[in-house]
Amino acid sequence: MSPLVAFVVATATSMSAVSYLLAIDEKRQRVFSLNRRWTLPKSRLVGWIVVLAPGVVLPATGHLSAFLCWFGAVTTLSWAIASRRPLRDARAAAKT
Amino acid sequence: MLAAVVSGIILHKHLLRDLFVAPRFSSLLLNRRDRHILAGSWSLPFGFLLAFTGAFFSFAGALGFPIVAMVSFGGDQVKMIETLVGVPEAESGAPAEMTNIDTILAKSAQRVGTSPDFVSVVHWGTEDAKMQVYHLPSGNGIESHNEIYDMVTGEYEGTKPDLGTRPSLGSAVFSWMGPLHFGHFAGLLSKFVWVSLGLAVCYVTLSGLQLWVQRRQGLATWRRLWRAIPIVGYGVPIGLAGAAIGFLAAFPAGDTGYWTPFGFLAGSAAVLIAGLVVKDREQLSRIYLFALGGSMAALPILRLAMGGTGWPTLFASANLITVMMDMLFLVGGGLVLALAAGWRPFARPAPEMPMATTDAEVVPAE
Repeated sequence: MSPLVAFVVATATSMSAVSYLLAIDEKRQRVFSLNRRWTLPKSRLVGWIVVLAPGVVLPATGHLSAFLCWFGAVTTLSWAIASRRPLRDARAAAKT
Repeated sequence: MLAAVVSGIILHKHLLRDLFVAPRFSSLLLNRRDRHILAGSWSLPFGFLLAFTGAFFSFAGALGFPIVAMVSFGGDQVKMIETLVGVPEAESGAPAEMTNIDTILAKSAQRVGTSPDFVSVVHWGTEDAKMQVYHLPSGNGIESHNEIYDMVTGEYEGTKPDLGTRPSLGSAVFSWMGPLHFGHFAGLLSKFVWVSLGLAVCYVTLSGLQLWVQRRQGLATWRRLWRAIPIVGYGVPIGLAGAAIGFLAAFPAGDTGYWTPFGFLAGSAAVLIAGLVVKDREQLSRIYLFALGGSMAALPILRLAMGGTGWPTLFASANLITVMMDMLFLVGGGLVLALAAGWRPFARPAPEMPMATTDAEVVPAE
């Protein structure tokens, strides 16, 4: 597997888990008074394990450069995603 | 920076709990605080990495190695250098025919798998001549390669570790410092990621300073610092862009030694004069943003206008760092110009909340 493919797969895996953690985060739901119609099963532990799993798998399989790029990309992308307000709340804020 | 990272961990007690909370809209101050904390929390691991490797580069030569010389070699610096770098080979001085350099470069490229980044030759024209071929990290690894070739026979003689005379764990760790700090181990991808992380750390530093002073700007003693933040925050990159403009403009004439520092001083002077003349802080920041964005976007254009190598040639010779820098300056300059023109990537609370006039009025952390 090329370093680029390893990086893309690892980053996509972690970002999926970050999105899941974002959706189930209680403080985020409380702060923005979110009352979603649908709910996901809540397991922060599983979410974090999936987020961090590439950090173990990539070095173990010798993909050191992909590991470092993943490490940087996940922190930056997670920041970008987390700093977006929930859609419904953002629409309401825009109206006011 | 290391102190800033540690202070961030100590000061922010709800690091994990606030990782997914987007900036709130209850007040502008709280909104800015949330932005700072969110950016700081996510960029903390990289901030530590950058600070640690930067501290290593800053202090290894000035403090680390002299201490090693004193402790391990009884103050014998020559012995330390022989251990860490190697013993210079004796030179016979006997003239000898040099082998073809291109043949060695091709051999090294085939052996390592990438094109060499630079070469150096010692004892040219003698039978002791050696060539050191340096390859930046590539592929799955993050270590660079120093290949040694005999310039008379063209034979490969071995790989020189970055530290010491034979491969070791210390040498491997030492060789990781550069790639970890500069992010030059996976071509454009790692460069792009490292630039993004570097910008995030700059944002955290600047927004942290702003917050610290903004919460106290009602107090007379803090007002000057409040005004100084954009002057320093935008002034340093504007000065650096001025240095680059000076370098590029003087490059064809070959007088970069004078015009590069002149460009930095001219850019810095312009920032200071604007800071003295323009009284309104918002207007001042906007002027700085226009100056910064304009100078950043001008750099790639100026480079090409002054006879710099074009992108097709750079791609053909695998010189991707220059392409990356051009792209980042164009995109970054465009974004800064858009911010100066009023574009806001994130929604913000409209009404400006009154600022605290005493420490007792400072908004509590939670």
